[in-house]
Amino acid sequence: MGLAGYLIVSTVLFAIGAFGFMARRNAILMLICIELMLNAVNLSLVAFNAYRPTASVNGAIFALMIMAVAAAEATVGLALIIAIIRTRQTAEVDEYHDLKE
Amino acid sequence: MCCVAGSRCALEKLQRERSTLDITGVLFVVLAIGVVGGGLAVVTLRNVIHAAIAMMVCFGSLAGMYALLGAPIVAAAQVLIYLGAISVLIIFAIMLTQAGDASLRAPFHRQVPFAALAALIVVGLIGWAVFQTDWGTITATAAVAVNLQGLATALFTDYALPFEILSLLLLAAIIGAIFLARRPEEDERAG
Repeated sequence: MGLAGYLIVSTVLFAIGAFGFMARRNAILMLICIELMLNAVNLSLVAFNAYRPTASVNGAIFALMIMAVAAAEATVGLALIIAIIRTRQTAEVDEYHDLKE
Repeated sequence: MCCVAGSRCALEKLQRERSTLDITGVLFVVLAIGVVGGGLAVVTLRNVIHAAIAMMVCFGSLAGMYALLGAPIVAAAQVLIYLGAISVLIIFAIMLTQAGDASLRAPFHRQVPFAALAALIVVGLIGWAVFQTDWGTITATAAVAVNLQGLATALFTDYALPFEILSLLLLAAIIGAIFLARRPEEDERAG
């Protein structure tokens, strides 16, 4: 398979995440799609690191740091979504249109 | 005799190498199906809980891919952080917020065709770039394993400042999440 196979899987996963973020109406699913995109980038970083001619750890460290940032993002994002759902009683993002009116 | 035994030994070694290569290829295909299938299930399933479980399948397959790429520490972190922490957090959030089948009506926006077009353009452009690029003489067997000791040394010397900033970010995220998720009436009771 080689490097190209991993990069194609990573690209397809990123595109799926982007599609889901644009197409789904549920706020929690949009957050899940952001996580899919972050994971796709992680996969490409680890793959590039593994196929370097010389041994390196930089890609693994980048991937670990992206995971920590993703954990922080999921924590704050879910807290925000729960707070919004508590006041608006719905998880559908197109019901949040107060600023439009 | 010795030569025959030697050649047979070399042949067996070659066959063993080819069989390990085949196992790697088969594992890659299985894990790729898990990753892409899980991702597709996440964006297409109507029920949010089912989508979250498909997300866990996707993340588990990704952990296998990291192990296949010779990065077991990243695979372990993937299992701990994504499968262990973030998935449970997301499923908790879904169970706290989804009342009955409120999410079962129209799961998609009207802009689905545009979103699909944008995603296909992303796949086309990056895929074209991947296939056009000459990746040099790197072969499939050249995947280099991550040196765990080197990783720890690099994390606490070269990457010490990002590491500390990340700790601060996590602390800020914890405090922010507690503040945001607190019920308003607890404020009044405390005040």
